[in-house]
Amino acid sequence: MKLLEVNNLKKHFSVNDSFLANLLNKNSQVHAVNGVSFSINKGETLSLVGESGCGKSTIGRTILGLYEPTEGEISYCGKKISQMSKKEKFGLKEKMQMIFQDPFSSLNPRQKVKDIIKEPIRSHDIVSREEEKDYILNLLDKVGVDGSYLNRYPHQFSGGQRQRIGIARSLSMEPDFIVADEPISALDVSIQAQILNLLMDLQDEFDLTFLFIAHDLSVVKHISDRVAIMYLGKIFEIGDKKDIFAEPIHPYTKALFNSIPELTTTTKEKFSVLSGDVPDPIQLPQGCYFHSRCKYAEEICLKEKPELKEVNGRKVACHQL
Amino acid sequence: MQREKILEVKNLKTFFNTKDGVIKAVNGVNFDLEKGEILGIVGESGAGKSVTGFSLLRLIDPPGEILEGSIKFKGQDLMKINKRNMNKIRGKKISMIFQDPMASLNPVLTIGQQLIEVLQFHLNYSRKKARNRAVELLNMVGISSPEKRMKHYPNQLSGGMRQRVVVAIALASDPEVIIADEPTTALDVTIQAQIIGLMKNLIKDRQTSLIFITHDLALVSEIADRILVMYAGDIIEYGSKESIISNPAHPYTQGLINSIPVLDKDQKRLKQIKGLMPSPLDLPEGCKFRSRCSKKTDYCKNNDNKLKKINNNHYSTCSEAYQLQKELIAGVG
Repeated sequence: MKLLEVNNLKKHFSVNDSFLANLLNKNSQVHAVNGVSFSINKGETLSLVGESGCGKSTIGRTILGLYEPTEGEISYCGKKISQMSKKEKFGLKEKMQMIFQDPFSSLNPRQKVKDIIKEPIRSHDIVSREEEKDYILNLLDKVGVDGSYLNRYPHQFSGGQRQRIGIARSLSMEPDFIVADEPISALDVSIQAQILNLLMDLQDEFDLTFLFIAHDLSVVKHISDRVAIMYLGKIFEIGDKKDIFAEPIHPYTKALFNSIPELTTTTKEKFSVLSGDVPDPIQLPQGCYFHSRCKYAEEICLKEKPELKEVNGRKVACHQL
Repeated sequence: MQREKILEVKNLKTFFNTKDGVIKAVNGVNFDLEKGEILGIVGESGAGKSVTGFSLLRLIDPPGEILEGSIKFKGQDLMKINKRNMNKIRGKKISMIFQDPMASLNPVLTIGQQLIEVLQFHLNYSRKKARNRAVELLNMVGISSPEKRMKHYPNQLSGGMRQRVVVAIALASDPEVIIADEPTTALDVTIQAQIIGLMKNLIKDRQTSLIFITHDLALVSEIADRILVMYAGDIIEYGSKESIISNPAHPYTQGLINSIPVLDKDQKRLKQIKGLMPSPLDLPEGCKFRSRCSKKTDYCKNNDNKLKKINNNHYSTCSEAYQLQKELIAGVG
């Protein structure tokens, strides 16, 4: 069953939104997301992968309604979010939650742990006041934080523990769908493994659906069912994790995979596979966004944008296929 | 083949005096660096790896203090020379690459000015000669149209280009040792690969030695000759890369290797290391890892934390590993 569907989503941000700039028509736009479509089935983990500035976090935030889409539709359980009433949208907030990247800035430093978790519970009337404390203790137990820490402040915890508190807060709404925006990239390696294992356990226990946003491919391979590779606000390749990791097809996916450091006993001789930088998202290039760094680029790549095409059980956007 | 030792560090102790107590950030480490070698220092945040790097250049400010130890650079003890002479070595003979290129470049000077400054200060170049050399250096680190880029400010460059400029500045005075503190952590993987490849080529050509400080064991395994693993201010394992990666002796190193998800292997759950690193204010006696260790024995709380020989290219503080190795040799004998 499709839980979430995203259709031709676009999100542009104005850089210079002053009255004068508008009058002179000098208002330039950052093209963060440029027409993205995908769907997520219930109980599944879809990962959005790409380098910084590719629009992966923007997609996550737009789905949760933190940004208004510039164009396109997002549907939840078959119903378009833009056509929902205010009350329905408020109810939807319980069902869709977020885990943030930075456990230092995503918790209010002036609130105690119990208040951090209590706030969403009260505003959405999840449990009665009498049951509240037990409910919070149970949540903390689920994420592996000692119940005696209820009256502590965030700064008294380590990064990994803070991330656990953030996870408890999003679980408090009994969500079906969670956007996890780089939930482990701010943590140390040995702690990353703890949090990854926790997320997978919680997914099994509560039948959660994840949109997992990350740049670390080995982590993505570990946690996902399906993977979407993004570049400059477009999906270049999307499909089953097993297929993509067994044989990446798009030139950018290949380059990305070759750039990841791997544990090895032999010294690597050749490192970089891609030259140059990602183009400026204010002035998007003509044709395929990747052509300036692609060694297979031909004339058609400079002129026409490739659409996603079905190849070997997945979808790839490249003219060279 | 025995290569020339360019840097010898003995019993280096760097402590920070805070109002909560003394933080023993680096607690008596010993290691050396050979000419043309790449030494990787690996550890989690708080392990003391960056403080070790900063201590080598005496870049520790109060409340921090280098309490003890000697840092011999080509036979000369850097701890014993005066500030003036240290300034001649720092940045010229031993230079540093920092993690965040935006913070290590001066935002109000053009990158040309910053390169020329280094060349004039350390090598006494004339302005014109320094300018020409600066363009050459930018070209060498792969910055296109370097003449034009000389006039740009750091904020006009992308993260990868900024780090290329930092590499160019570090190489400007033709140093013998470069200390790189997480030089690619702030960059994307494809850009990381570019910078690492660049650094490696430039160093190989000049026989420069490199100390590469990072938390990323996989990255280090791709470039280093030897690896040094730090935990809570101690070196807990030290040796050739081949030996450490294929045969880690210390349970912490084993845990680190196991907690990295491997791309071409399917695993359902990751092996994790329980718990957290002990607070640096309150370090336990004996082995500092023992509260998290699954292999601990009664001996561990009396461990002297000295490196014990596993084989010719491999040392570890873990007594368990040492015992095992002895039994192995006895068995063979």
